[in-house]
Amino acid sequence: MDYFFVLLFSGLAVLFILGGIILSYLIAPHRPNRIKNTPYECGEIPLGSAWIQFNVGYYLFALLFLIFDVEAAFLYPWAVILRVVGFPGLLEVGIFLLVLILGLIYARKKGALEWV
Amino acid sequence: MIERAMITILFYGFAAAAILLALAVTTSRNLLRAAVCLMGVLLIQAAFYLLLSADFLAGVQVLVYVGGIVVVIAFVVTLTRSSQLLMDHPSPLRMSLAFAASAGFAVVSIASLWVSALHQPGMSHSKVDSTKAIGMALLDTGKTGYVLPFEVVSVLLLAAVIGGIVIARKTPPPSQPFTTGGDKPGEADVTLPKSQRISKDGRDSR
Repeated sequence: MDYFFVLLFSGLAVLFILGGIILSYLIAPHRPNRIKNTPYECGEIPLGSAWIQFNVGYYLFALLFLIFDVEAAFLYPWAVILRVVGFPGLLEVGIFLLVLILGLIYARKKGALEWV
Repeated sequence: MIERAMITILFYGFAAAAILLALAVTTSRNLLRAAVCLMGVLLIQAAFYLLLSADFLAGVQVLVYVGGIVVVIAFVVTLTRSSQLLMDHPSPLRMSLAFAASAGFAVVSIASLWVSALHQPGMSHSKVDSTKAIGMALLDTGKTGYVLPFEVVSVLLLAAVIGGIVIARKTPPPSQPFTTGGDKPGEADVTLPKSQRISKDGRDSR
């Protein structure tokens, strides 16, 4: 198992977080009052609900990120066999990237990458 | 032999965790909590791929699903007025219909897996480097290669870029920079200087 240490690490991470929460719950004194229960907002009195509606612009950025994320996933298999496939492989990946760069240019021209 | 037993134990452990997390996704009244649980489900799915020696697929699962799609879902959650969604208690009729539909789906998928060739207990998996094999297959121009589908994927992604921009975009007022808004109160004042605008991400621009 090459991934034994990944498993060990994940297990330890979960244990570390859960252990911290449970231990502090067990040994900390519990004397809540109204002021203690208010959300901490850097010393200011919190205004309104914590649920606010975010700028729709975040969604567009997330969507664009997702598409280029998928593109990156397609580049890994090429990177592994870079020296085996040589120039023809570079050409094929170049065409692949060119089409997507067109998309990036389109997004840039439409101003989708500008923050408003 | 010991490794096989370990893999079996791990599989059942992961399966139990995945089912519990999936239940948490569907029953949680807090959308953001559901998204975090979904992240857990998808991570465990990556672990399943690793158990099947599909290293590359596991990597893509983490990169695209956990790192990408759940992020988009989290953004969508923050974009919605979640308080309204939380109050939406489904009627018993809708709940029973949903239960019937998902139970039917479960029966059909289990049955089709049972009769298919995939259901072969003790099927051994090869120890080839899957990333290398996928790369060779993707870039191979020969008869067994997939170079044309590989290039077509880029066109598909291009269509996704353009579609995403077109759908997320509202018609911008003339001579205005690109805007994603305009149809909600507080977004109509986009013509004001920045300091007078109602901040949309909740923070005042003081």
